[in-house]
Amino acid sequence: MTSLPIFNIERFAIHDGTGIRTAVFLQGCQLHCQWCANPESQQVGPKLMFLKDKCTGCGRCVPVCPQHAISLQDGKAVVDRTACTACGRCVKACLNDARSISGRWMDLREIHDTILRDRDYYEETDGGVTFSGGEPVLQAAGLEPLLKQLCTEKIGIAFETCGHAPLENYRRLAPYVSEWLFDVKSLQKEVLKQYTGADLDVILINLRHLSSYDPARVHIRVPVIPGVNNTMDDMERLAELMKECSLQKVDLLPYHTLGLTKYRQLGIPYPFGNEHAMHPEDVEPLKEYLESCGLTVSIGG
Amino acid sequence: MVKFDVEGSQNVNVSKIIPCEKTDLEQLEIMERYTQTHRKYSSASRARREVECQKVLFPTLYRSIEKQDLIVGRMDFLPIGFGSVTSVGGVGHYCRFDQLHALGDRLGEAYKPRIEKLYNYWLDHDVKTIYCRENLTDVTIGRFIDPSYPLLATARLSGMMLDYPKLLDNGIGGLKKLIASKKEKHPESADFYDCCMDEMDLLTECALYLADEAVRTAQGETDEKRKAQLMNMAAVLRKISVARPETFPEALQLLWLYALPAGVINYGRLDDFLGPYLARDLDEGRMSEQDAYDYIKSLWTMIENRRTTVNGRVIVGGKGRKHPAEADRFMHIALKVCKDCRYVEPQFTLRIDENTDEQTWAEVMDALGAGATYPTLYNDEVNVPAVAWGMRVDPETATRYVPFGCTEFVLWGQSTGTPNTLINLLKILNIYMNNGVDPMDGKYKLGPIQPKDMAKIKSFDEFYDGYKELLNYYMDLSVQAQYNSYGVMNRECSFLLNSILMDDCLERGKALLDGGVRYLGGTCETYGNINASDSLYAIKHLVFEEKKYTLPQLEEAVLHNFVGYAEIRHDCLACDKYGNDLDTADQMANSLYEFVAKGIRDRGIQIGMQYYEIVISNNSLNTEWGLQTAASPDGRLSGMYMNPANNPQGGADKGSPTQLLNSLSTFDARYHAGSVQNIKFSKPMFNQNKKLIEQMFKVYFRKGGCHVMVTVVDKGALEDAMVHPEKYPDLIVRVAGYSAVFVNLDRTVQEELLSRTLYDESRL
Repeated sequence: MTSLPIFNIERFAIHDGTGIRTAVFLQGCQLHCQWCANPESQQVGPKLMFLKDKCTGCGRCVPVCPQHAISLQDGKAVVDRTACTACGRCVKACLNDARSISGRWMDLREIHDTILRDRDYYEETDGGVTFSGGEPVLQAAGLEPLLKQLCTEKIGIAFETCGHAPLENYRRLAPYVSEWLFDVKSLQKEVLKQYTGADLDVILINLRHLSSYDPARVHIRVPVIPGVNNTMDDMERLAELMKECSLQKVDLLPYHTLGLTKYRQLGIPYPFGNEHAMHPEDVEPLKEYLESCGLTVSIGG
Repeated sequence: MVKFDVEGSQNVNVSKIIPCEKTDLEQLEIMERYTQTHRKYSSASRARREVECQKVLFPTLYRSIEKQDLIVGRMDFLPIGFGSVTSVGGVGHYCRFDQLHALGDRLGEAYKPRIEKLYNYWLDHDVKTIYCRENLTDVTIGRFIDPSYPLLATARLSGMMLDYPKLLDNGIGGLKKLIASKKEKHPESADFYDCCMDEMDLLTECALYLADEAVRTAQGETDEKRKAQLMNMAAVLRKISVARPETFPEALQLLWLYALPAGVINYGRLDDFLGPYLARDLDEGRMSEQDAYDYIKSLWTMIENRRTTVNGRVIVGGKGRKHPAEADRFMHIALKVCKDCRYVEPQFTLRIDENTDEQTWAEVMDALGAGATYPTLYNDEVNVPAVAWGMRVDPETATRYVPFGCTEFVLWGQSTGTPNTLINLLKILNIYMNNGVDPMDGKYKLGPIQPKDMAKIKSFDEFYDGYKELLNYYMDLSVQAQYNSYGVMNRECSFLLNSILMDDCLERGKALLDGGVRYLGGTCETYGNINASDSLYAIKHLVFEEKKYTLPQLEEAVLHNFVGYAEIRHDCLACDKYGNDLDTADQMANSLYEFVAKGIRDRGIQIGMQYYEIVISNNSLNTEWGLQTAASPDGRLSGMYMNPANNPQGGADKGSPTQLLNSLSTFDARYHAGSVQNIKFSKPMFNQNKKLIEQMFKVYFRKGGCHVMVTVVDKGALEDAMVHPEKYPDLIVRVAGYSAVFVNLDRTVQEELLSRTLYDESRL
């Protein structure tokens, strides 16, 4: 049976599309946005997450590691990430819940059954399932049988995408998807490349394709990042693009730092550096401007 | 003879009681008169003795009228007197020995002989003490509340919901006529009817006394408006002293006048009872909406001031109302009062059904979002058919169900449902696993059941069957204790004012518990349900599926409170837990639920009751009993609170609100007479997503959810209130079967509340 690399399934997701939803987070993304809130999602495969604060230095994890990758330093466990295979034995040994594995291969049946447990709530609220990530569109082939099944069961399907995946995948998915939450990070080619590694042309091709398929299903999302895309110029470019594509709805997502702890748990530095979250009121002027262009804008999704 | 502490705490008491208006000496004198009367009539019928004793208390015990009162009737309770429940006074002819001693201490040495004389007389005559002496045992059945026992039993007449329409339609004069006509039919019951008649005369006397009080108060009043109000209150009282009420203030006053001496502390479907009077006064211009609001607020204040902690139920909405349109008008005003007052009582209860309209839902969500904790919501679509089946009545009769106290259902005007037995399923599991010895106190509590050698048990089913055998033993004790409570109360009292407004006492010429009440029902509160079922699942999984530990290994760890067994505890905690929408743990919870619920119900039918059902309610007993319950295989430590009501152990539910609600709706409501479900949201989470949360509740109800009560608090507020209680005088929280001001709760109860999952934006 097909399986997919999942790092989280969140029930009662209420900010990722209409109504009450279940958000399925898949691993694997071609971008590496500096502010990415899910760094454990960028590459496929299990990752060891380590909460240093919870570690008591008891050392139970040390002998169970088949790679001998764990040692104690200054009363805390330290893992050699180059040797760690994320096998998870140290997780079982830890009595303090300081260690966990993020990401596992789940078969489609299990994903499907989890989604269906809140089916009644979707029906009442016009909700459904949202595939997010990582970049879920990269898994189009693996997802397709599941989407087919969900469609026959009349479960609404949304995708949250960064727009950076093969056009073929979008073509393949479009018939199943009732709502696209399409991220637009920057419409300046160089800026985009610098902060995310993305090729703007790829994203625009995909966006134009989805818009021509059905603009009503496309919902733009802008993670508003200070110093990257929070100027009026950025908003002007966005409004123009949306007009060109006949798109109406846009969410402004103020920059947050909820992902910071995950970088610490993965033992990697936070590339973006800025640790000050924005307040919803900080993006009010941007909202006002976009509304003046005739767009429907909300803050926070 | 069994030993028990007659001065021990008798009820859950969080609210601060308003001090008595009588001086200590006056109190002593009244109690002496009461005791003399009780002695004097000891060879008369119990109905006669009761009414003569009542005459000592009324109208003497009324308090003065307060500035804000629009209806009259405030009462004091003395350490000796007559009542129905421990929340206000005591049960039947009662003595609160601890309070009597406290009064003696205040009066001083000179009065000691008089106090001791009373004390000694009541040791032999206090109804509850008589019951305890006859029914408690050394190790298995304890006094309510002594949490060192697995089973608690008491005598009380909780949750009476009287037939107020009968009172309002007839008035006192009409009831007298009715009593006289019934007496003609049943001359053999002449004494009962005569005593009922005397009670009615006493009510008339009380009304007139209070009318004079109102006039006296008016005379000392300088504010002309208040003066007029008081004179009007006097006129209302004079009228209803005989005649039936015609206006809303008259109906309200009569209802209140009756409820106080009857000792009832739950008020029933006031929307349907009072709605027609309210609507008529509004439509005919006798009253404005604001007047109606003020009257209802005054009623709310009177109910709050009685401070019963766990009672004060007012029910609105739902199926089976005779005057739904008029009732709804009452309901909408009451919802406003509830939101504005933010009292812990009345426990404002809304019965929801498919006809509940959008406006009502919106008002409900507003009140909850403001932090009122009310209304608490019951689902008629589930409860009405469940009650019909569970209580063995027709569907129309089942629409009379009303929750009282912490959630127990009764049929208003037709059934008793008092929870006189309480059983701790987790303690029983601990005893079973430890060769019959309660690890908490080292006492052997297996009764006649043969202890099982855990080392020899081969399968989970065999293990479970052994536990069920012990549960059966305790359920046998429980039903007998419940049944006997009615026997003892009936031997000592007639509960005349209750009898008059309960079918079919007047019809049959019999007092309530003497064959009068149409449906003699009862309930058994169960505790530790989920700790027990999660423990069962952990045993099944770790011992019999994974075979990681043997039963003796697990038991050893539990007996050591997991000290030195951190790994075992970690594994126990990691097992699937109820509350996460997992079939494994939820099905185990359901299996244990059905075994106990059916076991209790079947025993009730066998013993000759209309119904005897479990209630999964909760006061703070989950915490108090937890303090006396040893560690358990679900990973819970010794002395830790147990799970509240039908909810998971605090923090064991790690998922979404939908996961919790799916777990909560696992159970078939037919087997219980009330089950409490709590859910807690942060203010921003709730208020920013009101519509979605409302829709979520609706789905939960459609999926079989019978009830939900909602606490909405600021994130961090509870933590902060523990450090700075002075900043949170009105922070109300839902404990389970009741609401309370958070800072008035014991610290252990506060900790349990804090442990419960709070749904908040940043968590999701």
